[in-house]
Formats: sequence, structure tokens, C-alpha cells
Amino acid sequence: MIINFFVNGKKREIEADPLDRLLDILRDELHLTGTKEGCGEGECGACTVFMNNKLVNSCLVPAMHLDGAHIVTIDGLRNFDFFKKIQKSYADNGAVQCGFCTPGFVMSTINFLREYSNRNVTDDEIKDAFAGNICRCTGFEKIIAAIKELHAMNLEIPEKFYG
Amino acid sequence: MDKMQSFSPKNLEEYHTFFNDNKEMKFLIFAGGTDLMIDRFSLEDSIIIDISHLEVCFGIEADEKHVTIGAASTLNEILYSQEVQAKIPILVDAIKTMASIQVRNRATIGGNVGNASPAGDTITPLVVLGASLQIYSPEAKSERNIPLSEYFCGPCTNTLENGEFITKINIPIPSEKMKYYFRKVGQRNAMTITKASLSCLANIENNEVLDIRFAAGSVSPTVQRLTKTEDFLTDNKITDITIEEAKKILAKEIHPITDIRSTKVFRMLLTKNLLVDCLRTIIY
Repeated sequence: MIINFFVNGKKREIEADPLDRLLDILRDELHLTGTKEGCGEGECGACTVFMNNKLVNSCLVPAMHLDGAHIVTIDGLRNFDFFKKIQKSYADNGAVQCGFCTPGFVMSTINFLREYSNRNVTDDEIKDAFAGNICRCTGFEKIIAAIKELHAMNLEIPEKFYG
Repeated sequence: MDKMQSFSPKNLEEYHTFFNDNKEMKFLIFAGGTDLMIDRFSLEDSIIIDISHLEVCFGIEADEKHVTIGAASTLNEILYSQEVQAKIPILVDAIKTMASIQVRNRATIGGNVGNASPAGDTITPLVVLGASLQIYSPEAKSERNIPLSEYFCGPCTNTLENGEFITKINIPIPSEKMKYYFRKVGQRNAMTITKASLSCLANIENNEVLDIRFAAGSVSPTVQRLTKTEDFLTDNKITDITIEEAKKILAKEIHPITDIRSTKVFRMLLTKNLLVDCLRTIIY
């Protein structure tokens, strides 16, 4: 089937089977390799992207649901100011070790900061917001330190990234 | 994957026509896909029916007596629905324990119920709420309503005919007097599949049980009401003695098994302890 959709603001036309995964389309067809495959079962969050402004696991999204969709991946966010602040905070706090989970964590961080900016947040709310991302190196402590530091900055995260 | 066929009907009329032309095939209903995508290569002998474009499967509406949830509503749409939060809080408590933001943005309530897993976390609350399902039949070209309990016929099997699917879930709004309880136990707190769970709705006055309903998850082939435990507690007072007796009755009503997620013995112990926790929680 032919699918017309938007990736990081650009219109794309691809041919795919109905159950092809968004993850494979992004990585193999469009060469957007910032998005990683970890478990392929929706548990680890390494493949997290925005679909119509909502956080999803790209390994679980079939091509047949993509027509007209707006996808934003980590590759499309590098040039935003807030992204550079997130990058610095992750580095300063030692929140990156092997780095494989990092793209997914950064996507969830962006979603979290957008939802919780200018309001208090509890530790339980942070845990809930990152339940879908797994890191096997850091033990999470350093990632949570970065997230708390970023939350205190009250960064401006736009409602929509493109269009 | 070349042979795989899929069809995304835009309305029920279109689906009815498609069904009539292909009814000898095995139809597989697909909504959010968070379960089916994982084993997508095993779906090759079926026609995938993608119901995510059917208007009839969307929306959350409430009147005086019922909340009606479209089967293709995502778990997060339900979690953040003000109607559901105000009128069906037990369902909100259950959904909060499910998966992650990423999965809840895609996974649908129709899928969770439709899979008929004994571990489906929306199922135990819906059973105690007395929910019913609106089913579309492409053969009869009409919808019918069935009690949720009539949908299940075994672990992950249901009573629907080929091509039939759930369009809506109708939930009677419990009276404000009803106290509620939902708790699940898994390997960890987040992103986990239930080893054992318990849902309860109860009307209790001065420690006396006027009405009580239980449903336990992951401890029987299908989720059913625990009617013997309910009957024993109704018109009784909740005391240490009745709690002990209720545990014994419950133990005869559930049929846990040992599988990859837990053992028969541990599930039995968990469910009894959930009952104690539930009764001690709801009397206050």
C-alpha cells in the first residue's frame, strides 16, 4: 500500500505492507536511525516517537495506521533550544552511559516537560511518566536527576513541533 | 508478509459487503495493535480487519445511568476522560496500573476486553460494574448487546462468530454509595502483567455489607464474579472472623494455575491476601 504521511515536518510517500512497523520505515526507508530498536515488544521505550503529538512505541505502530499521520522523531528535534538544554543536562548528570536507551528517554522527557512545566511534580508522577522506558546502565538515578534539573528550568516546549 | 491481506472499512456498510465476499476466510479484528503487532508474522492466515476508522467504535458518552465507551477508545483517552474519572473511578484506578504512556496512547479497551485474557486489567472492574458489550454482526448486519460474562468462554477465547466485533462497552454507573477497590500484583509496579488482581464494589453501612461484588484476575480460565464469597459476606458484618471465613470460601471459588508468570500456590495466597486488604480498606 502507498502511504502519505509527515515525518519531522516533511511530507513523505512510501510503499509498505499494512503490518510493517513504523520503526523499520523510519530506520530502513527514511534512514532516521536516532530511533532505536530494543525489545520490539513495546516494553523498553527505545523506539519512542511522537505520533500526532502523542508518545508511542514505533515498534507497535503498523504502516496501515500511518496515512495522514504526523510523526516526530528524535532526529527532528535536535535543532530546538529545549533539546540542547536536555542534552546538556543529561551529560552533566551522567545520565548517559551506553546511550542506547537515551533517544527514547529524551522523547519521554520532552513529553514530560511539556505536560508538567510550571507545576509541581511528585516522584511517583516522574516514575509513572517514565514507566515505558528502560535503562540497564544508569540505575535510573542519574536520569531522574537530569529530569528534575530540567523540570526546575521551566523550559518552553511548543505544543506542536512542526506545522 | 506478501500474502497478508488487510481491510480498513470506513463504515459498517462497507464492512458488511466485504464480509459477504470473504466469509470463508478467518477474520482478525485489529484496533491499536499493541498486542497483535508483536506476533504479526503469525497473523498470515487471517484477514486483518482494521476497525480504527469506524466511527461507531469511538467516543465516550454518558447519560444518567450509563457511560458508553467506544471499543477503539485508547486507554489514555479513558484515563483522562472527565466522565469516566467522575463516574467510574474503579476503571481509572485499573488503567493507571497498565503498561506505559506510549502503550496506553495506542492500546484500546476493546482490545483488552476482546482478547479475553484472564489477566486483562480492564476486565475485573468491568465485571463488577456489570458492563455489557455492543457487538456488530456483519452476517446479520445489526448490533446486539450481551452481558460481558457471556463474551468469555475460556482463556483468550470468546463466543463471537467469525467477523463479529465489539463496537461499544456499556457501563452502568454505580451509585455514589458504592465503595470501590482495585489492586493488582505483578513482578514489578510498572509495565507488568498481572499475577493476581482483585476488583470490588461494595455498599457497606455501619460495617454491615448490603451489597458486594468481586472479580479476581489471573486465577481462573475466565474472569467471573465470586458469587459464593459475595453471598457469604452479604448481610454480614466485616470482622476478623468473617474475613477468615471469606478467605476459605474464596479459595474454593478460584482455580489458579502455574505458568510463566507465577505459581498456583502463590496466586492462591495473593488472592486471599488481596481479599483481606480489600475488606479492611473498604470498611473505612
